[in-house]
Amino acid sequence: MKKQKHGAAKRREAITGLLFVSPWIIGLCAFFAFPIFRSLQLCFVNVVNMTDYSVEWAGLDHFKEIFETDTWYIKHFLTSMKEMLLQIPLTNIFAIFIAILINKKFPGRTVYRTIFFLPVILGAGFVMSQLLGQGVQGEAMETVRSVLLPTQIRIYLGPKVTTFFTDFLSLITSILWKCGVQIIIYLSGLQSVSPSLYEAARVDSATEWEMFWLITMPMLTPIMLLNLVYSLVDYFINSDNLLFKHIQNTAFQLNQFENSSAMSWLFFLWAILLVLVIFAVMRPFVKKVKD
Amino acid sequence: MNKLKHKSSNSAGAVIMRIAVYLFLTGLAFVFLYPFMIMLVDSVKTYADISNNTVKWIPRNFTLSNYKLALEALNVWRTGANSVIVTVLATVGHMISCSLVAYGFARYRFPLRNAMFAIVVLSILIPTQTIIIPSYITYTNMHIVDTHLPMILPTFFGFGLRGGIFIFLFRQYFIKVPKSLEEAAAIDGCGPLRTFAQVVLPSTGATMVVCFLLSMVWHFNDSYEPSIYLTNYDQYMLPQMLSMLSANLSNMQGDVADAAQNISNDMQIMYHRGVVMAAVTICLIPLFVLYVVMQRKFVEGVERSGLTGE
Repeated sequence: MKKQKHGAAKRREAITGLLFVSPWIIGLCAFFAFPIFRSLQLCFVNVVNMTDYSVEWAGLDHFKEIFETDTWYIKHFLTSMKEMLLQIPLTNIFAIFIAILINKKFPGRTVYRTIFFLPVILGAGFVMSQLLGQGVQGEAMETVRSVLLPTQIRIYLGPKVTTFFTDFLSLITSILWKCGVQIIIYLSGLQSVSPSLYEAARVDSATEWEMFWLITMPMLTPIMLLNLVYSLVDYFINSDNLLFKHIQNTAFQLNQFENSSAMSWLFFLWAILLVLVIFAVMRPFVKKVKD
Repeated sequence: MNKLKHKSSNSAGAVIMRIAVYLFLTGLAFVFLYPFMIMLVDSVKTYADISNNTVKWIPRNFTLSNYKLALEALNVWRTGANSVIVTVLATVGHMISCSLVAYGFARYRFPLRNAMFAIVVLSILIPTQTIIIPSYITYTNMHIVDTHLPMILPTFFGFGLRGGIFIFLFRQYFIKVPKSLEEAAAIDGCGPLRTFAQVVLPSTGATMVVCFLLSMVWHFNDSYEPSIYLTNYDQYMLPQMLSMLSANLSNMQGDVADAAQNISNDMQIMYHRGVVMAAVTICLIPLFVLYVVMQRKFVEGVERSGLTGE
């Protein structure tokens, strides 16, 4: 239909569209374009004079410095990558799991839902980190651990297993508190799966297990893509991230704004690369559903 | 869907299964609720109770003095008012600008549309921290540093705290809405802006509720931007105040603080714990009220928004 439109109508559509988007374009020029330009520029220059902001070209010096003299950057980078590889899949597995559980109809479902959404509302950001600063996370884990694994068994298993178990539980606790938004997204995805699909499958006497893998999962793949990207972004822009703290320190304590800028752009490029990888890996699955 | 219902009709194993699911959910719920329960309990404990390991859930000496101290240390009426005003204005800004812009991206074709949308996605990906210094310079040139405007103004233009995410979410919704309603409105002589405001926008309820709540929560909790842009004590916002709480407390308590300085850091955390917990509780009250009021709509909204990642 669009192609049949002739010039004038097309132009009018373009103008209306641009008018709708115009606030954003103004915002782009006023608040975003300059900071982006400046911080990109900082990667390749040395600031000579801070007051009038005169600069001299430095080429790739700052990047060289990061890799050659800064011993912490790569170290923190590897640590946060390791953490991310562990956290993102776990977050998503838990989120899917909880979403499926609270999507079922059972008495008391509303209560559980309300509780599982609480961290999204109350626990986001600073308040939660204040609580974590008080060591609440460790205590929660301690309580869970002593219920799951009595002391006698722990002694019997030896310290290695216990440490592993403790670390694992602590990780899970902190992940559970972070996966609220993901649960919401999965839940809304589950709601959009047509119930008739399940009814048809049930008529064909499919088991619950088969339905999960053959209906739920394939229908969830687009949502999963969205969620994986969201988790990744959320991880990257989280200020608790070790690497980010390092970047902050470089800027505000060592006053090396140029290096700090180069570091954060490197990190950012890496994030984009990862997003692209996720898209590339997920695409075949997502496409299959659409057809 | 109804795994439980399905099986419960035919076997005893299903009953066990059902109990197991409930136990599991309750365990999870415990983990979710734990920090909030601890927070509430510790906020009414005296220091003696907090440092006593045998007192866990039921305080031996109930006290409200922590709250009194916290209210004072947070400068709560001033700081709270600042936080609420900024949060409300910024959220209103996001709702108006992001829905408008998203509608433009979803419904109209214009040159560079895809490139611009790519920039929207990039703006989600770029952390505030990366561009904070040039942003600060920008706002200095606009003469709005040391006011709340750097947090509010960008939201009216689709930027600000995670603005891109809301544009993205609204766009996802608009793409899926059938065009027939808008076409009917157009035939009746309704202009694009009026169609948007009177026909399309009222139907976004679910998406709107989710975006509204998330925007509120994120703005209310953000401490990074305020800590950069605000230097005047009277303009401080709640999360910022929370981070300075320990220092404030030490100042207020005078010679007690001198004693506290001699003890180790861990001890000091323990020493202020009751007050910190009370302060965190106070900060959470507005969000909690909001959640209680909107809880039903929010859960429904999540169900109806029917997000797909396409």
